[in-house]
Amino acid sequence: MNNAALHERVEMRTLDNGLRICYLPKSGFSKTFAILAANYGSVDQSFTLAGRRYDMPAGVAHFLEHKMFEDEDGNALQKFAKTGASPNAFTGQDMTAYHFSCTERFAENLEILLKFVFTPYFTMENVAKERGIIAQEIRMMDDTPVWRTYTGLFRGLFHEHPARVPIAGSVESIAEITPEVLYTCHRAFYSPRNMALIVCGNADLSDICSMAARYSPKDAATIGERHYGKRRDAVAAPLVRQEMSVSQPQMFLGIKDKPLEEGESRLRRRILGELGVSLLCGDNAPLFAELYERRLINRNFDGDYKIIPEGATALFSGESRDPDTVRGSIEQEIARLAANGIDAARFSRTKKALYGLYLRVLDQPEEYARQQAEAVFAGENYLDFAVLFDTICEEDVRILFARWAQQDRSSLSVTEPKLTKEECTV
Amino acid sequence: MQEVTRKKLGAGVGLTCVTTPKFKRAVLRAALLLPLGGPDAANRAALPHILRRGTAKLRDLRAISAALGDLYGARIEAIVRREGESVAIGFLADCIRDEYAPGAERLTEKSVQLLCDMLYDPFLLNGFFSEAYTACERANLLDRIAAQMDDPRMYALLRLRDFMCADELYGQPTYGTTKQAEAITAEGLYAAYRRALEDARIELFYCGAMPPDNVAALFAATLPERENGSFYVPMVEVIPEPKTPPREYIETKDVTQGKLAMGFRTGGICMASGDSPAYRMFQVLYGGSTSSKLFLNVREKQSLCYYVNAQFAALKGLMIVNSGIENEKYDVAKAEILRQLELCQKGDFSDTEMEAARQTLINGWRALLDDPFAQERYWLEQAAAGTHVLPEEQIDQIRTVSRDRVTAAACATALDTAYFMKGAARQ
Repeated sequence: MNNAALHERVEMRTLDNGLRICYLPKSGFSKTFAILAANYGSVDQSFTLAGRRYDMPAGVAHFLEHKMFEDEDGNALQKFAKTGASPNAFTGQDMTAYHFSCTERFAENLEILLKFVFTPYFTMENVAKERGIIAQEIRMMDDTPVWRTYTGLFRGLFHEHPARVPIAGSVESIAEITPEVLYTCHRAFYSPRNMALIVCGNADLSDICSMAARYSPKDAATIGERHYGKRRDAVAAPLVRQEMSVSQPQMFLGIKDKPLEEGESRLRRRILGELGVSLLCGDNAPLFAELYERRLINRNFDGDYKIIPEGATALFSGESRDPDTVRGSIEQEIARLAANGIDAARFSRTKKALYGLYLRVLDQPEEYARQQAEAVFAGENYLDFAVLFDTICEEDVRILFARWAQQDRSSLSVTEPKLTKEECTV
Repeated sequence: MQEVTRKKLGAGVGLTCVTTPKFKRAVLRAALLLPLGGPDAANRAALPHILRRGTAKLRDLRAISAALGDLYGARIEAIVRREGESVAIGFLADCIRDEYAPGAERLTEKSVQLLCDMLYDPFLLNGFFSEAYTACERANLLDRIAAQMDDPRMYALLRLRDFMCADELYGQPTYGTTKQAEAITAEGLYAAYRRALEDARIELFYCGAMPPDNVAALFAATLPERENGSFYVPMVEVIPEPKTPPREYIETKDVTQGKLAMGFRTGGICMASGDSPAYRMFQVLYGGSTSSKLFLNVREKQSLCYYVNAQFAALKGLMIVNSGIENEKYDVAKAEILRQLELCQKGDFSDTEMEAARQTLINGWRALLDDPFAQERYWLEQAAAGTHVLPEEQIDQIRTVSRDRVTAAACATALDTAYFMKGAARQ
């Protein structure tokens, strides 16, 4: 299937300063969504800029995201409020993004977005105030079992990679963040060359471009050169255990894959990885039904495939009364499929189901724009998924499974129920 | 643009069709609306899950999974959802449109058929649900009941409801009690299923490109025969004012951050009666956006929290404030939350704040039209309230809300119960 058959159009342009702009028209939609993203996330904490190496405190990208909203003339959130737009932002392992959605006064909102993201304004006072708010965000995440289990997995998968550290850092690490640290990170990564603006909805590309040209820096600053530590194929720890007040064990199983190769399509790798995960234990897989019937997993059990700079991993997550057995079953299935290959009917059915998920993204402006930002940073176009699906065959997945079946590739993060004092004394 | 059509498909059966070509998929729902609580509560919570295990034609999960895979990954998921004093049990589904699925045809028709087979034509052994499936789903239900305490943010809200609405039907647990769940048997579950089919109000929903008449014909062909008796009419019990001075409950749990949940009565303002547009304006201005009084003062000015918000449970007529704070800041945070309410009651808010709230709401109602799942939830809530107000009409109503009406809505608000989950974990 080709892009045209999807009835979607992408208009792309790159400004002289290197800012990539992408417009995705959605006719019939009431809302327009805009996202201004920096190819910079929590894993980019160590870098070299102008000959000097910086090892920044953990959580700096996320702290910066919080602080960007503040400008000398007030908080951008309040400026958006006047138009009724809903603004927000997020920091991931490899991206920081600022966005809004609105149903009118788009140009006004876009101006606010561009201005605040390209204008750093940090003072000792406003940084200190934010520390209190972020400390509460960290405590909230500390109380969230799924999140704790997820971050535990990355400690198991990697030896040195900064993905080991939670995105927001810790209450201790953010205490070291100063206005100067934030200015340095902004200078190193918020260069228009390292950013992309994606608009999905009803707008006009040339209007977007002329506004972006007016409100972004004329010249692109040099981007920091990042360091992720030494690459290793094996996991750092096969098992990471924690205890929390939960009703039954929560698990994240990771199968460490090789990082993206030079010139390799990121989108194709992701499709391939997700296809592998679905074939093993996705909703429609026989193993899913078997584990469900044995009451080892429930309907919330989920699979994913994640690519980060210098790393990639398959993920399986959910609640289970026996995570070890679930892990054993999945590893066995990997070995079996790597050795015997995959049944053609099952392959075709799983691929169709995954294609259906990629297609559904086009109905969700926020998700579509986010996916497109990821694709743009990799020099790709999300809509090419339809073409890429056709290039993936059974043998590609078998090779993938052979890689996953190697020794020391899997790590299991488990959060087990904490025994209460009364139970301990029994 | 979209059209909303409401059709009666039979006694006690309503279909809402949102017809629009703009999505690449169709979203479907078939749900039985029944009263919350009662002796069948746990059985009802288990029902959609056991029905999802197998139909007369597709007898187990493998067969169902394969069928869904062949439908380009159509998704059909069990729902057990509270709507005021009702519970909706059934299935929510989506499937992509034929024109985007090379080599496929009639995906929507087949998905409707499978969805309805799950609801009306289950896999049975000797006239009952299978013992094996029953045992498994009984245990899964017990897990779900226990898992409600795993996410402390959600659990704090649940505890607030337990305390605040202990004497109301609304205070009944969604999934029934542990004792009821433990007592589930294949025979009892099947009997509860037959009763549910006989008694329920059936609410069907479709959002997609197919003309309403075709959708109606598809669903009508699958409907079960029902005795033309009396079917459940969704009810809502609104308590306008607290019956006692504000109550306070503090519990200790193994979390690092304290979770505060405060429940207010709204003076009887709810979806079905009173000035709900003004109430929505008040709620957004008070705690419903990043420019609200709670966000700007409790979070931004005093750095007391990361999240703080006020929600309007419009169906029931409640307002809930929810925040995560440091354990020792309970009194300070609570006092500030109440002080901001007082300011609203005195009319101490600017025209800018008023207009920002109005624009936020208008933006929100319009954005609803872009999300088929949000529309599905919207229309089920409307059905539970016995109302039929289009999102476009909500916008018109919001446009004319005056300052006095917002102040009146704030003044109608009274604290009923404050719940604080105090963290006992070491940081």
